[in-house]
Amino acid sequence: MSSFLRCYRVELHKLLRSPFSWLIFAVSLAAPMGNFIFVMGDTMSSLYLARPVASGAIAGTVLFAILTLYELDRTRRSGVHLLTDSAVSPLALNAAKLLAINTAALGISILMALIYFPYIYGKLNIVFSLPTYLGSFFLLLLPALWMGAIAAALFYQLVGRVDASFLAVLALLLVSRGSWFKGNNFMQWSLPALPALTDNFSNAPLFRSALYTRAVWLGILGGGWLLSLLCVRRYGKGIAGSFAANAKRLLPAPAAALALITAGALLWRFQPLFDHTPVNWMEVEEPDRYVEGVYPMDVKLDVDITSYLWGTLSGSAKYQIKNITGQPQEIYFNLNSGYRIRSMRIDGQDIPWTDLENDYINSREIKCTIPSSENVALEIQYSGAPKTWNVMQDTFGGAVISRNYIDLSSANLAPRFSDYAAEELPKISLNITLPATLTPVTTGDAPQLLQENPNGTKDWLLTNEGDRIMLYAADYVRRPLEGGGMPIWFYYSRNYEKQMEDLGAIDIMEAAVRYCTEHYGLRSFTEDQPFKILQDSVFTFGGAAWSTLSVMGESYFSSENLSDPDKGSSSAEVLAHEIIHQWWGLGSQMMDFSEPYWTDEGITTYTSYRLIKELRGEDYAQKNYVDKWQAAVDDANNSFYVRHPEYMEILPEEFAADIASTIHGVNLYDGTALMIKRIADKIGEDKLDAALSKLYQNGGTEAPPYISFNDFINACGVSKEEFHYD
Amino acid sequence: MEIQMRSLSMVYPNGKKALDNVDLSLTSPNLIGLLGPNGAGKTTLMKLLTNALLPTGGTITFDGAPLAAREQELKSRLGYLPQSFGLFDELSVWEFLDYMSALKGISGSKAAIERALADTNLLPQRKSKIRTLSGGQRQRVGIAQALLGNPDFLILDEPTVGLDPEERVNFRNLFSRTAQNKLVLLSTHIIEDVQSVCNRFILLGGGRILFDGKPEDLISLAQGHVGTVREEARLSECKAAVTSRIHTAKGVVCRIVAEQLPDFAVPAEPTLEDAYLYLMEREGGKL
Repeated sequence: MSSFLRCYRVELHKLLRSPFSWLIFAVSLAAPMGNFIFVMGDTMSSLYLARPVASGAIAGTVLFAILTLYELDRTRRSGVHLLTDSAVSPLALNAAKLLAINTAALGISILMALIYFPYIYGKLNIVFSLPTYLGSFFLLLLPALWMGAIAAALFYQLVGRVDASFLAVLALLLVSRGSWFKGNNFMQWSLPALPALTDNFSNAPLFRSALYTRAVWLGILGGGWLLSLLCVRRYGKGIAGSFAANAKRLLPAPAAALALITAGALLWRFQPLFDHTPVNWMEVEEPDRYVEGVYPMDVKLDVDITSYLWGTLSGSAKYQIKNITGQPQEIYFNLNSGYRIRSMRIDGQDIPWTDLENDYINSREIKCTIPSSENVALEIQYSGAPKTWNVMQDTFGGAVISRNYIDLSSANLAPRFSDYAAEELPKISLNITLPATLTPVTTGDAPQLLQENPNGTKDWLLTNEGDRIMLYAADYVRRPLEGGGMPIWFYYSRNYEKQMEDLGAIDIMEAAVRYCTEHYGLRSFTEDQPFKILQDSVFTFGGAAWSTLSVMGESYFSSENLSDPDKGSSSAEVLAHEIIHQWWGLGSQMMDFSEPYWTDEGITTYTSYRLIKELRGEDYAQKNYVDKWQAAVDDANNSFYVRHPEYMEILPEEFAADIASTIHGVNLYDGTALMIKRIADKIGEDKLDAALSKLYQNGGTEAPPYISFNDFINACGVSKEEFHYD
Repeated sequence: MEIQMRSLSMVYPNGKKALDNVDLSLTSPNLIGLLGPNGAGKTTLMKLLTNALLPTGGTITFDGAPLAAREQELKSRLGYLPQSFGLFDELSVWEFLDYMSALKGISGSKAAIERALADTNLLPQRKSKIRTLSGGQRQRVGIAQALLGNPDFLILDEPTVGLDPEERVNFRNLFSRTAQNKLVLLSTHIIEDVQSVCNRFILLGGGRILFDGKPEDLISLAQGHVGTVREEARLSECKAAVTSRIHTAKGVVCRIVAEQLPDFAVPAEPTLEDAYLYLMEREGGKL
């Protein structure tokens, strides 16, 4: 060990005196300025922190691989190894070189974090977060440099050639980041998935995932490196002879290497982050679990966040179940795949249950049998860390548990009773303790503060009608939106308290409320159950809406978006779009079994256009909405796979699904909006508005309350022959 | 320090037998000249002693324990100059020696480097980049790094290659001084380099030990087998090997070694070189 430490000091000293090292360091330091790695999110943190860090990480992987190869080969290339081998073990020297290079990587990462701090801090300003900054540099960037060095050393020690080793590292990097493994977070050995960074909420899932994948690859590459170290040529022998001789002298090393590789593989195989939804999930038929005469009456949830650091909770769900069948019945619950049931009790007695392990969109089914009694009291104890749907492993959409943000909805919060029908919706309540800085927002009634605790937490009681609760909690500002003649509350991050007013974001939202109220009618919100619009993490990548809650991604509110008129079509559209969904989607729904593209999205997209036309003029709306719809439809129609669908069949499943999903989206949004625009052009906007208002007020006739495509065509007084889906 | 070799053999993967059943004992203090023609197994023996190669047969013990098990200790006490080696050209002489002394863990490295530089007459070049040095100066850097830290065990493989005659004399003296209290193994095929300084010779030929003993014992082996002849043409009549030709006023005088001196030869007092050549020729079956 002493000779190793001596070598380490010597090698570090030598490294820091080498001009080539400093060239590598300089290019590494400059790499974040390249911004050549695309990051999907458009929050300020995504643009000005994630992108530079991603670029620095990928460039650093390659640069530190080059530096490692240069240093490892330098001794042999110059023939100095004939002298050094007589002084120290070449194995110790190689290990010391790698440690010295990785120490330099640490130094360079610290230097980068310091150098870029003024610029990034200046850009992020009110949304700057030190933990996110440090996490980005030391969980995302620094290990990328380490991984590059370890991978390069691994290959060099195996093959003993610089060119082959460099090509191997490059190939490994390109393969991991190429389309084959796009979306597979665990293949990203250099830089884990970095789709965005939130400005205002929590990056905990991303950093936890990064930490975990780092551990996986540190095991795999570290073990591989240790094995390759034993292949360092000695005693005049080849790879096998050297391995045997070295292994004999370093007996624990092969076992340690195998243990590391095995640990990495096991961590990968049994990863706790993402569920195991099948690849062909779109084709999976959801089982019918409906049992007539069995339904929940009352649900009481007690949830305790057990670790904000690791995002774990434990909970108890008590169900009052009505069983009027007179027979014992099998019932099913959906629960996030990351939770495990600890116990199930009926009337205080433990009962057996089965975890079907049939992961599907981040939840799985739990089955149990209830007795024939009419009223059954079932208690379920569960705990764990919620998993993310594996399709979203590179975007991190899903449940979040962290100290400054919580997103726990439905089965991510507690077991959810599967299909049922009841005359009255069940009552659900949730007791939860949250950090005092967090304001809970739910789909249900206004949260009740039960008590403030001396340890800086607050106990909340949340209630709702139905079998589920959507819980969001963050450091929110609550602000009423005026102009719609109904109670609307807007919750947004406290970071924007001043900026939101100044930049006019509130005006756009109030305009959308006003427009829909005037054109279609009021929504039936009450003071007890007001309409809530919630600013949510960038990881939702868009928006979502429930009965009394509309969720919008945070980037639409960022200063970058709101102050850039060129981005009006994205920020304003989505702001308007989500507000309009309160009318089309929640107030009234479009659905047609024979026309799959006839949904709320088309009419909502069209209404967004009308609103923006009123706000910003016809030319702007034509250019940013209608022309873009047309372009999207033209692109889809001209797509090779649309013109030659027979080739879709020979595509790999994932690619075919991707293409089908893109085409589906174009038809759903752009195509339908374009068709409605053509109808408006023919009959006039006023007549169209009147037809829509009538449909909104009265609902559809073919399959009430849904508004079918026929309902719409008839209300507009046009024919299906004229306006139809191709 | 004591190194014992028992039934030591080394066969390379290509089938070449470099050492064959060698038994040797090396103890300090000693300055041992390792002699033999190219391919005799000298370098192989040295690599085995530095643990750069593992023997295919036999054992080497270092102070009573297997050498491989005491590799760390061996390296800490060893100064080694291989026959061919490289240097970091971009470093100065001082920086390179500083690097090597740090690798060797030498305490008080500055003084050790100063001493090695002085011993190898490299003080004027201490700040010169290695890439600017001549072949002889590079060889001296190699010797200097071997001398760093005053090691107990010095293995020098052809140390005087590339040195001018004056430097060779200097180094002979240096090795002689250095060997006062340590074990020095000096490999060469230039007899002149070792005849005046070594107190023990080991002659290797075809992977076997042909002689192991004091210089005078080696010389006495050749007693009666060395002579001079003036009639070179008659040498074809007998089995003899010419070791040198001297041009004199009366013609060429040939110095020969033979198992049986011809009657036209005048017996001569053997030198170390004569004895070496006698043994080599005899081993080669030419006498």
